[in-house]
Amino acid sequence: MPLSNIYSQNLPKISLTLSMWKKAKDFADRQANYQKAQQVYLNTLAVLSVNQYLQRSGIQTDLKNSNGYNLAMQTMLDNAELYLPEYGVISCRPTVLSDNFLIIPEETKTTAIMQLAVIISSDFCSAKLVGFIPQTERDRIPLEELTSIVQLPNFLEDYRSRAAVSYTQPEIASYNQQEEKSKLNGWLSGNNQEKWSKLTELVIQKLNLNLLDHSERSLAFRGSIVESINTAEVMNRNDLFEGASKIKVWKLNQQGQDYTIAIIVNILPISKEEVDISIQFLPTGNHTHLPEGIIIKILNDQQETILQIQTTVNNDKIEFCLSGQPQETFTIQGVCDHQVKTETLII
Amino acid sequence: MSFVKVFDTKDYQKQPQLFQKLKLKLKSNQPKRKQDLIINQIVDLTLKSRPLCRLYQGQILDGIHKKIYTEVHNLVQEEIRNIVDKEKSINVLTFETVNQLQLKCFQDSLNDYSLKQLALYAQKQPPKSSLRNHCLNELVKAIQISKKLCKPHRELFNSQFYPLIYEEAMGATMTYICINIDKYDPSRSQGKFMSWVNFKLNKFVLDCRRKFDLSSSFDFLPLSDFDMIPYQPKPISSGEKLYNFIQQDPDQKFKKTYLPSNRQITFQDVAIQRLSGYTWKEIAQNLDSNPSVLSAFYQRSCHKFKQLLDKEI
Repeated sequence: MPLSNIYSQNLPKISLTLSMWKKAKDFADRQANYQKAQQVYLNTLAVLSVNQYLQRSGIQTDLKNSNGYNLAMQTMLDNAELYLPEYGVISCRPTVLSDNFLIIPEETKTTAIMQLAVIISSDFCSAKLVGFIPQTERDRIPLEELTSIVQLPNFLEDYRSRAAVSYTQPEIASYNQQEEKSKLNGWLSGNNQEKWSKLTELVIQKLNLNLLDHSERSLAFRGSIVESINTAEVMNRNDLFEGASKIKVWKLNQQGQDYTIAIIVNILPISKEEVDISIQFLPTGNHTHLPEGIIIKILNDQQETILQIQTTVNNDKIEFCLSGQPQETFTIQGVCDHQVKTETLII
Repeated sequence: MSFVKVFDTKDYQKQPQLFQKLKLKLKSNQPKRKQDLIINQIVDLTLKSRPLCRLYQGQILDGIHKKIYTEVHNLVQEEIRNIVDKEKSINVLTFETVNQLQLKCFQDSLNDYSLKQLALYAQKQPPKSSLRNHCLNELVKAIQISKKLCKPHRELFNSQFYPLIYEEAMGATMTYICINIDKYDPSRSQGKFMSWVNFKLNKFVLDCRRKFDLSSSFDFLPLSDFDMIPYQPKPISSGEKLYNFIQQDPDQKFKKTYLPSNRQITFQDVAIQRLSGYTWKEIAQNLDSNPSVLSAFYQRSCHKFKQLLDKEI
């Protein structure tokens, strides 16, 4: 696309000013070489210009807690992230017009809910906000494919209502729910936590759970899967009874129907430092399959999604396998039409 | 929900060409009515690249936006008509001059009353809505285009620095206006909207004076050498400090954080390589893994250690 076209469009333009240049230079001067310094300089200007634009649009921003405004994170990564307390983290990528593409560095793909393209003028006097794309695994996006920046408020609201949670950035998540976290290790020694019950034959019968001796794997991954999972054997009935297993039910309403699904968590210590965890989701009662369209996520202690699946018509069972260390926490989250259910466990 | 794509390029590319075509159509021996029709088309074309009264969801907004658009349309039409009458030829009219004419007409149209109406219109829209966002952007652009902004405290600053200070203060003022639009009370300041704006601008200019030590060299300004950033490295870089810290690993934390799928690969391994400047492809080759898995692991681990790394620098 010819240069003139983008400059002719009435895209939001932010004037870059003294305080922005000063901050960008402060960060850049700390870097080891010119190349990294330039990256940090441009990233900072991009973050600050988007920050100003969003403030003017009535969207709350938190620069202080943004990684794109943090020296350590800028040094470790090619990071231009801006934290929006109401929605999450967005990535403001400085874009070179003549490239015609929004380049998304590998190490920025996981945490941001969207990538924005910001064109900084060659004299560093202004920044144009071109458009955005929701979280993607792609490396390069042609600028024509981006959604207009004008749609940003709508997108954010839409995203929020779909996710149905208010996102908390890892470092400032308040862990005052410590007491509510179920302690898994306690299970091994027989402590009984409220709400999570011990897995017994009676429970299995009552819920009519389909725990075969040898079960098929039915895992599918979509969206932001960021690491490969432990490829242990799927937990079967014998395993579950041998190790420490606990069960809990979730009552969900999906697509107008009520469902009760069972979650079985099993832990198996591998060593002093490590524990294998299996989390199974099963339909109960007369249902042979899990309800369709539920998004199940496993979040780490930083509240980041490490595993995710959306149920389809074919899921008779879903199992996640993870490993963790003592004192680590993880969260199981289920998102359906109108509810979000969360269980946080500490190893 | 489908989103509007950014670029509709076909139209814009053709504008100068269309303008030429229309200009050629305009002849001095034509009846006035025919001339007026062509001039009208020229104005329509020119206003397609107007700075204000932009379309929202395919239409110009009712009320003040439409009013300003109509007024400017008429003004530009009049001006072109005058030029045609006076000069008897329109060769003096180029695509650029007509655009400049457009800007001038906007400026004439943007008096305090219009600006006030734009502000009140924005105020009426639900906060955080796309529509309010659009209106506030229009308001900001309108204020900046209008000739109603004052230039306070010029005497306090070096003439070289005043434009920079002014730009900084202007940015802060516009942000203030947008965030606090609901606070604007049209009954105050004798009903003058720009009094409110200029009052804030005045304050921000003075703020800037405090913030920026004018005796200092302002060495952080972008260089006149385009594309070169002003760079004055410190004796020890943040990268070096973090590299050393991670390598030393006093609490053994970095060694103990590893890829669940491959316990041989620790955060320390990955970070050391990354800080040394290797690409993800290279690191993946060196550690026998996959670039996306490694970079995701690295990114998450950096988040985890953020506070720890922060303290180190």
